[in-house]
Amino acid sequence: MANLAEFEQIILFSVLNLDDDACGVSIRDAIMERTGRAVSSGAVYTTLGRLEERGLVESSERGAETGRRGRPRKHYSLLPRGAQVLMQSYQIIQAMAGDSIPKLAELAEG
Amino acid sequence: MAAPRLLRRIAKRLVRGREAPLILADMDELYRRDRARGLPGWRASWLYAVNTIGSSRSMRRSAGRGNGWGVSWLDLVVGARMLFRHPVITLIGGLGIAVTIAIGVASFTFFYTNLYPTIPLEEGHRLVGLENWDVEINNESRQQLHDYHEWRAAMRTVSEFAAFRPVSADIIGGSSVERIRIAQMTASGFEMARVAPVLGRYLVEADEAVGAVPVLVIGHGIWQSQFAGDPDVVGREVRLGRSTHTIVGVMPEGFGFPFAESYWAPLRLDPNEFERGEGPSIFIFGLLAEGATFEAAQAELAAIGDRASVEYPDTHAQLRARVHPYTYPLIDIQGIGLAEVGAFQVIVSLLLIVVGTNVAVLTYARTATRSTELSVRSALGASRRRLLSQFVAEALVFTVASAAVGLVAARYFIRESNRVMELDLTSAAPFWASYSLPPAAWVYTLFMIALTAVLIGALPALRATGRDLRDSLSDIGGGGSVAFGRTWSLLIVAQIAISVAGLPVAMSMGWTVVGSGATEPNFDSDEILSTRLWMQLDFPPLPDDEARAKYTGPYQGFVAELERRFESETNISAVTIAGTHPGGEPVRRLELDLAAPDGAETTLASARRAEIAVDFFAAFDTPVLDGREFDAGDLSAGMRPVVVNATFVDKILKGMPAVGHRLRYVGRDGVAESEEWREVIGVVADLHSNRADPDWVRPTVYEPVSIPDVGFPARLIVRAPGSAVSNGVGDIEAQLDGIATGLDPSLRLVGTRSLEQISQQETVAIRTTIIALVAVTLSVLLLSAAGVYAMMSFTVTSRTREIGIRSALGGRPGSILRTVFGASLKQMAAGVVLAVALAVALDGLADGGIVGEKGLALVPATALILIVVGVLAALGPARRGLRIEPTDALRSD
Repeated sequence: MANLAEFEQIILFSVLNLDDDACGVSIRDAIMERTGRAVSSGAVYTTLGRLEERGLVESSERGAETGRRGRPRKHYSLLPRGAQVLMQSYQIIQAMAGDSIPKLAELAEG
Repeated sequence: MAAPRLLRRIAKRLVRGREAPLILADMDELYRRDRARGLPGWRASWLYAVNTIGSSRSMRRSAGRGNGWGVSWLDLVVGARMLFRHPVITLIGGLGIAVTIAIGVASFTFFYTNLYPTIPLEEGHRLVGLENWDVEINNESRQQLHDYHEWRAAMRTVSEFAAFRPVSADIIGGSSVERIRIAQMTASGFEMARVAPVLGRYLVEADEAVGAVPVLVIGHGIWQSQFAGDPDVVGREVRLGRSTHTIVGVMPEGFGFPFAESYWAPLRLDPNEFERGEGPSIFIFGLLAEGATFEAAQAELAAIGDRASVEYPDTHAQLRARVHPYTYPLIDIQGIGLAEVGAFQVIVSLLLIVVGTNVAVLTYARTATRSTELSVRSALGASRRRLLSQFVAEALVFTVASAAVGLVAARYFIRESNRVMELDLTSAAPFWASYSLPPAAWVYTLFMIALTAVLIGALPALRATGRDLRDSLSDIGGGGSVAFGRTWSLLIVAQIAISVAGLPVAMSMGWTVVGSGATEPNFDSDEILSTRLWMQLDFPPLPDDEARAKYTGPYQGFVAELERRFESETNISAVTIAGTHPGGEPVRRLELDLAAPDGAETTLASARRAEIAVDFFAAFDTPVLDGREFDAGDLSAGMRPVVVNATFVDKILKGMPAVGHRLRYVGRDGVAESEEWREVIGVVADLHSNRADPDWVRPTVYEPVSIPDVGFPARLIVRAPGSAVSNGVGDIEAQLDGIATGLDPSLRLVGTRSLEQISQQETVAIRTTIIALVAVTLSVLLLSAAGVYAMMSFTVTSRTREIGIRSALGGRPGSILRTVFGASLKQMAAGVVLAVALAVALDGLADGGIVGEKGLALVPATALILIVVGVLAALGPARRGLRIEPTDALRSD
C-alpha cells in the first residue's frame, strides 16, 4: 500500500469533501478555510497530477464558465483506490493516536 | 480586472509545465476575486506574486529541477562559516560595506522622505504648496496676500485654500514665561486637514473677523505638559504677550499641521490693509480638486501668474507663480532639482562599487586559493553556473550581514540629521518626519546588497572558473593555478589610485572639521555668559513699522538700564553688548587699501565682521597691541573706526602696521556696499587660538555699535568671575532673570548659556560629520592596505616554487625578488602615478578647495603606507621561498 504525505492527504480530503466541485481554486479555498494555510496553485496542481498518475484521483475537463475567459476547468474526483489509500492512511494515524490525544493536548499547551 | 501585465508576464515565464495554463488561469481568477472583494491593487498583486513564486517552486520541485540556480541552504551555511574562517576579510570588507551602505541608505532616506513625503493626513496626497518665485533674486516671494485671494477665487484645479505664517510669542503662565511658536492659520487649514479635535473645536472662519474674541487651539502634547491633561482646559485663558486668548480646542496627538505646530491662532488677512506685494509673508497651500493633476494645477497657476505679471508689472514682472509638492516651500527645497539629488545619490552609490571592488580583490585572492576545490567539484559534474551561484550565495551572506550593521548605522545618521534639522528649524521635526526607513529605502538597500553580492561574489568566481577547471586537476597539489589577470591588475591599479588620491581628500575634509573644532578661546569661557533680552510684544504681531515706533524707545532704555543693574551686582565684573557671541560672527568680504590713503591700491580679503559695544575689549580683558581700543567718542556721527585682531595683521596685511589702513565691505560681486571707508584705529590680541592649526583663527574686524544699533533682541555678554557655569547656568540665570523682570515684567532673558556651553553645542553639530569621515577614511585605508596585502602575498605564494627553483639554479636573491615583484611593483607605481594626477586634477578643478595643500602633502604619505604594507605582505612568503631547498623545489615538479 502506497504511503501518503501530509499534503497529499489534505488534497484528497478536499477532493472528497468538494464532491462535484473539486477544481484547483475550490481545493485551494477549502484548504485555506479548514487549515488556514495559503498554498500556491502550483502546489495544488502538481500534487493532484502526482495523485492522478498514481491512480488515486481522476480528472475531467468541463466547458468554459463565466469569469474564466473561455478556458476549461479541470475537475477532480476520488477513485476507489484513492479512497482506500486515504482511509488506510487515516486509520494508521488514528491507530497510532489511540487515546493519547488528551495527553497530547496537555503537552502542547505546556 | 486582470492582474498587472508585468506580473502576468513574469508568472508566465516562471510557471512552466503541463499544468501551467490551469495554474495561470486560477491565479488570474484569484486576483479578480481579491479585487472584487475590495482588496487594494497592491495587496492583490502581492498575493498574485506570492502565488507565482510558490507555484514556480512546486513545478520545479515536481520536475526534479531544484530551483534552477542550485542555491541551497548549504551554500548559505557555508557562506556564514566563511565569515568566521576568514575573520580579517570579514572585518575589513564588512566594515567598508557597512559604512558605505549606511551612508547610501541614510542619504537616500533623507532625500526621499523630504522629496516624496508621505503626509499622514486623509487627503495628504492631494496637498500642494503655492507661491510666487522671484526669478531676479532666484528665491521665493511670500508677500503674497493679494495673490492668495486672487488664486483662491480663480483656480479650479485647487479646490481648497489655506494660508499660515509662523510667529513667535511669549506665553505667560503664573511666574513662568516661555517663548513659543504659533501658527497663525486660516480656519480653512483645519478643514483641509480633516482631523477632528479631541476637545472643543478647531478654528472657524468667524475667528478671523476683526474684533472677534482672541482664541487659541493647542496641541495634545501641550495639553498634557502645560495643562496636565485638564479635561476642562477649553475655556481657560492664557496670556500671549500683552493680550489674553481663550483656548477653544485641543488637537489630537501627532497633529502638527502645517509643519510642527503645537499652538494655532486665527490668521486675519485683510488685503485692503496692504499694498500688492506687501504685508506679512505667508505660506499658501491647497488641496488639488478631485480628478485634477499636479501638472494641470501648475499650468493653471502659471497662466494666472502670467496675467498678473502683465497687469501689475511694478510688483509682479519678475514673479512666477508656481505649484510645489506640499513640503517643498516649508523646508525650502524648491530650488533643488531632482537631477541634482539623483546625481548626488549616484555618486554615493558609486562609492559602494569602489568599496565592493576592493572587497572583490580581497575575495579573489581567497577564491584563487580554492582553485583545487573548484577543479574537483567541476570534475564531479558541477556546472559553472552552479559554482557561480554558490559564490554569489556566499557573498550574499557576507553582504547581508554587513548591510545589517550598515542599516543600524544608517538609522543613527538619520536620527542625527533629523536632530540637526530640529536644532536649525523650529525645535521640532516636521509632523511628517519619520525615523523609520521608507519602503523605497528598503528597495534601494536590497538593490545595493544585490549589486555588491554580484560584484564580490560573481566577479572573482567568473575569473576563477573562467577556464576549463578539469584540465587543472593536474595542478592539484602543485600550488595555486589561478593568477591575477589583466582585469585584476587594472582593478588593483585603480584601487591604489583611488585610495591614494581619495584618502587625502577625506583626511583633508576631516582636518577642516577637526581643526575648526580645536579652536579655543583665550578668555575664561566658563565664566562668561551670553544671553538675549526679549520683550513681550503684542500678539497677533503688529506690522513692522508700527512695532518699531512703539517698542524701540522703551526697549533701548531697558537695555541700558539692565546693563547698569547687572554691573552693580557683586558677582558680575563686566557687562557688554555684541551682535553675536565671539567666534560666531559672519564672515564678510572686504576691500582694503594697501598703501595710499586714496585707496588707489586695494586688495580683497575675507574676515569676520563683529559688532560690539565700546567696552567689549575691557570686558574680555583683551590686550591692545597697537593703536587704541574704542571709546565713547567713536560712536559720534561721521566716525567709522574699526579695530582688527592680530591674525588680520598677520594674514591680510602680512605684518604691515595696521593702524591708518582703511577698509570697506563689499558684496559677492566685489562692489562696495558703501562709498565710505572705515579706518583701522587699533589692533587687539586674538580672542581665540588654535594649537592644531593657527590658520583656523580667523581675521576679525570689530566695529563699535551703540544701543540704538544693537537691534532686537540685544545680546548681552556678562562676565561673572568664579561662577564656573559650564555645568549649568541655573543660579546665575535665575539671578539675571530676576533683575530683568524686576526692571519690567515684560522683559525676560532667553538662551542664557556660558560661552563654554555654546562651544560644546557647536561641537555636537560637527560630531556626526567627524564620525562619518573617520569611518570612511578608515575603511578606505584598511581596504586598500588589505587589497595590496592580498595581491602581494598571493603573487609571492603562487610563485614560491618558482623562487625555489631559481634559487636552486643559482639565481641571486635580489634578482629573483626583483623578477617576482616586478609586475606587482609596477602596478603599485602605476596606481600612485595615476593617484597623483587625479589629486592634482581635483585640486585644480576646485581651485584648491577639495584636496588643499595639506591634502596634497598627504598623497606621498598615503602611497608610502600602501607600499610599506605591500612590502611587509611580500616579505614572509618571499623569505619562505628563498629558504626552500633546491632539491625539494625540483622534486615537487
